[in-house]
Amino acid sequence: MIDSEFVIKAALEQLYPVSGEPDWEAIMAASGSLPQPRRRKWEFALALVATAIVAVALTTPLGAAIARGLGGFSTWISGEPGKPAPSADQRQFDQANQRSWIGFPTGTDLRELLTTRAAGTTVTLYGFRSGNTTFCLKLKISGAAGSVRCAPVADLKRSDAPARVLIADQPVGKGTKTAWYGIWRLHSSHLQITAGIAADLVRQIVLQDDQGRHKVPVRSNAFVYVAVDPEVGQRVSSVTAITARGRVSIPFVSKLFGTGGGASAASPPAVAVTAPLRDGHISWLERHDPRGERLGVLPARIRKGLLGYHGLGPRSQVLFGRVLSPDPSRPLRIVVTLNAHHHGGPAAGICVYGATAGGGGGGCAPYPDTFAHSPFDFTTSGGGSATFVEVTGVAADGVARISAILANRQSLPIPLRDNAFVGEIPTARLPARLVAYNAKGQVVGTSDSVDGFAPGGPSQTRGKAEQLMAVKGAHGAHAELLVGRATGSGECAYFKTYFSKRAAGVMVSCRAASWHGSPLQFGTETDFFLGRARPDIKRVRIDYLGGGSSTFTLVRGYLLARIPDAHLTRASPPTRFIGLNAEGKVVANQAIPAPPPVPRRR
Amino acid sequence: MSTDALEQIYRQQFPAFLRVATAISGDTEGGKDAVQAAFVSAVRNIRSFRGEGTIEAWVWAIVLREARKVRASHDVPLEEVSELGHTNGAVGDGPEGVRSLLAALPPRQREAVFLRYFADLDYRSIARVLGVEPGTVSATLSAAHQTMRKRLEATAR
Repeated sequence: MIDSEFVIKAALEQLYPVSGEPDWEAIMAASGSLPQPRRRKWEFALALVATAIVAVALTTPLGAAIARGLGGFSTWISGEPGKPAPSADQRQFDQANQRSWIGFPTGTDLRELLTTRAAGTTVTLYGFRSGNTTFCLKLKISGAAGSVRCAPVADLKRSDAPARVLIADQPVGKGTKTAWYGIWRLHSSHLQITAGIAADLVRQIVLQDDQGRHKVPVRSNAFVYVAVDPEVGQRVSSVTAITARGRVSIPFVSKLFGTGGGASAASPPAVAVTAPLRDGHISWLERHDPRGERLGVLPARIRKGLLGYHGLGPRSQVLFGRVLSPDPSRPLRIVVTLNAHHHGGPAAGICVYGATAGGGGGGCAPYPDTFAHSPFDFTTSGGGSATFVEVTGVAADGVARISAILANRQSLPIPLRDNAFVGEIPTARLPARLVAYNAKGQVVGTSDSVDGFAPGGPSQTRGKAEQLMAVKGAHGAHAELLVGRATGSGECAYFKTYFSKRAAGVMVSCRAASWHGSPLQFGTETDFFLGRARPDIKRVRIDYLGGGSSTFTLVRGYLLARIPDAHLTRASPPTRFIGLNAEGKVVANQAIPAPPPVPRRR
Repeated sequence: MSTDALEQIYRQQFPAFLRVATAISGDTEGGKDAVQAAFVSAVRNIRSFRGEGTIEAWVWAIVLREARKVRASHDVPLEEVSELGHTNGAVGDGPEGVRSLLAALPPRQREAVFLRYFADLDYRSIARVLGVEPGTVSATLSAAHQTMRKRLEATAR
């Protein structure tokens, strides 16, 4: 008798070895679900409430003084931290680099910084500089996929703190703990890794998380903290550097866990536009000049993913496009195409994609209208265990340079070449603002607030949501409302709807303990009315076009009700929600802008 | 549900996703494409996950779907890919022998084996991924084991 399960498992692992590393940023970019400067809206008009201010650890004057006194990050900027990586690791890195259609510059030297062991796992941290503009940390984890995170060298030259976190709470493996967050039961990780770099004379780094305070040594100007068997949702909340002269708080923003959060309530620094640049163009693109590289350099699967769209709109027909490298030291390209609505049509749209080794993503805008009021157009991406937000975009002719003005008013240059730009902004310094300058140094345009997903508003917290209401619709449709806890004694609502096997979903909205926003936050979702109202509103009346109304009593401020069949038609749709208090007095109303959609039946 | 939870699952189980997707799609590049496409789809459609079953099972179902799509687009049956290195229909020792055993299994049994051994999913989760009852998973895996055990034991003799 043989242990067939063991044989099968061992053989499968040999048959299908893992070659490749996870690239979450490429997935986020390709999904188009990027944190945008503009706030997203719920379809059912429940306003998200963002009240709390992002906990940004402010750097102290002592920090700046220490960083300057220590010579800052000279080892990282111009020296060689650590020791040369073992030849096998360097060879593996080179080979992976060569296999990729874009990689780090040839000859990039991997430096071994430190190795630590935890719970049977060996974690090795490597570092390297890529060109003159970028430095990177590479994690190698025994038995698990590693990762690479990069940041601009320019950020190190801002001598305002003696350490930087590049990787925050990166999960590794599957843990044994589970916890309910609302309607989802989530698993813990086996490990969570936080890593970064430190200035020359930093001795230790102290990290605070849900398990307490943890001191980790600084070796080769770098540090790694490995949380073993963390709780579900555990996060590093603060980072402090210990030097011979004292303790310095390191700018750091915890990762958000669960649904909710929101943009920072703070505003980015104000910058006056002194020489507005309007109605811009990209001349070389219109002339079809061969800047950068041709589209053919994109691997087929990336080309198909980015340019394979066939439909209506400004990206339907690619007239001309090029692959650009605003920052050659980074394995990232900007694909810019000029598009027409149809074959033979005039240029009507400009599409801009960020392409990495694994994929890419981006979007299109009307051209040249996108430059009518602003000299640049960009998107942001990031999130997860990254501690930087990436901005990618295009600028009109006449823009000579672009900088990010950070929350602390420091300026971070954004690499710009051939009208394309890409840069990284530290999340601990958000909100920021992009500023475009002409050749004379005048400000020709500024962006709105650049922000990231941050724990700035109420978000899910531990605990299972409970059902509050359930209703049935026509043809087997049904809906359910569950409520659960949110941070800051708030509450998260989960509206689960089911119309058919292929049309079902859940909408989540978390609110703070105190009411913010409109008194009525209702909407319609195909067959159903749903939403919530301010606590003093006890009932809601719904008026219909052509007369008639329905009145519903709210349950703990929530509404979930079936739209009467007679009002699912365009002839007599609901037009207005009217909020009534305990005495039946009208205290608020909310218009319903358009008839509800025709129910989908598949 | 936020994309953070998806990122966590992605990073936690990336090797397993890649192995299963590679095994089903037929090659490593196809496996990478399938995992990438699956998570892009998961991020875009996170709102359609209604909390029925675990989010892992939901993601695994998408990964399997994308891997099957890649295989179909390559127009290469898994059996053909899997039988590379398999000579004269004999079950060899080691991984290649197991590869040919897997190739001989019906698709559902094969996917159940991948999900059991690579994804480390329990029967209930495998049932959700494959869209069958938990009892069917038990029977499916049992049948797969029986087939493979018989052939492995025959080889060992």
